[in-house]
Amino acid sequence: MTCQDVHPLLLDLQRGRLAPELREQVGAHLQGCAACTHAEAAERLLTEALEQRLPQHAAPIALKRRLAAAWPAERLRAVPWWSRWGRSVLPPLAVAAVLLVVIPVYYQRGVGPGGPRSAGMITEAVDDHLRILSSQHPLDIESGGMHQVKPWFEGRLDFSPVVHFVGDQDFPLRGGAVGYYMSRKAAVFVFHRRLHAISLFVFEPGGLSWPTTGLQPIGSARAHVTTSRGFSVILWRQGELGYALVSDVDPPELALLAGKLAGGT
Amino acid sequence: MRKVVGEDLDRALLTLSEDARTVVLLDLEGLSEMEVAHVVGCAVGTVKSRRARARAALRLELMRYARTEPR
Repeated sequence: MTCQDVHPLLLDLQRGRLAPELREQVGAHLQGCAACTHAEAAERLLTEALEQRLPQHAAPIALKRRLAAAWPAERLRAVPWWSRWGRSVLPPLAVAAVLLVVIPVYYQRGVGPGGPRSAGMITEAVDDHLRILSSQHPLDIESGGMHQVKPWFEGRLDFSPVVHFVGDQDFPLRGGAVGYYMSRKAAVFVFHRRLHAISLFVFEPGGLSWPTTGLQPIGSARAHVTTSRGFSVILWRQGELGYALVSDVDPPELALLAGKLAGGT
Repeated sequence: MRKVVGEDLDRALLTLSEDARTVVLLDLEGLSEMEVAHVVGCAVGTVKSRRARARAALRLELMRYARTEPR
């Protein structure tokens, strides 16, 4: 088996789609071929990047309603009941479901991958935090304290960001900005812990698949605490708002700030 | 590749043709080559070649971002 034979099979190998005999042959070739091993790693990295870091965009409610209204009616019109049992309709229907739900969303925004949406919330929180870190002017308003930052959002958002903590010596507030999180406007507050920046995104929580298991008490809320790409991420809902807190500080320190923000400590 | 962020992936995907992007994204959704071929309306072999070319183009584009945009 040559490199030319192996390259087209690498993706199928990673997806577990190769027959056992072929899989063994490809595996044997990879063990002795540095170039193909490198190509295999490159394929894997690309897949990981697409699956984990591609921003996900929820389909608009109006689109979901249109699909929900149109799809069953069309299916029933097109296929008489007695003919449904004569052939397998499930694969075409499955494909149609993917087309109806996935494709319009891709083309509405240009992209959109699969994967659990709670993972998407974490990925986007880290991506947005990185964007703030790399931005030349991350803050729309430099902090003169929460009493200046919070009123600045009036008229710029459809909601009033409720934050129970105004900053202190341990976690000084650096300022705020209007940003976007999961395709919606968000109030962004930037705190600091020593030299580390901490981003807090406050947003309307509807339409997102929030994690519901493994939640930890943080202040007076219950939060999803995790790490991603070396960053600590804490997600929680409180009142009518959602919160995402991200930083590269140690997880206990971020949890401490989250507790203050959630109004419990 | 590890340095790229979601925005880079967005931009890289938008450099692909519509056909190529469709194949890459449906593949990512877990559709088999035969299902993708059915959806797109082409032969399975076309799906394979289109996907390989598209992913190679994506890799090149993303490597370019990673080199030119220090984070």
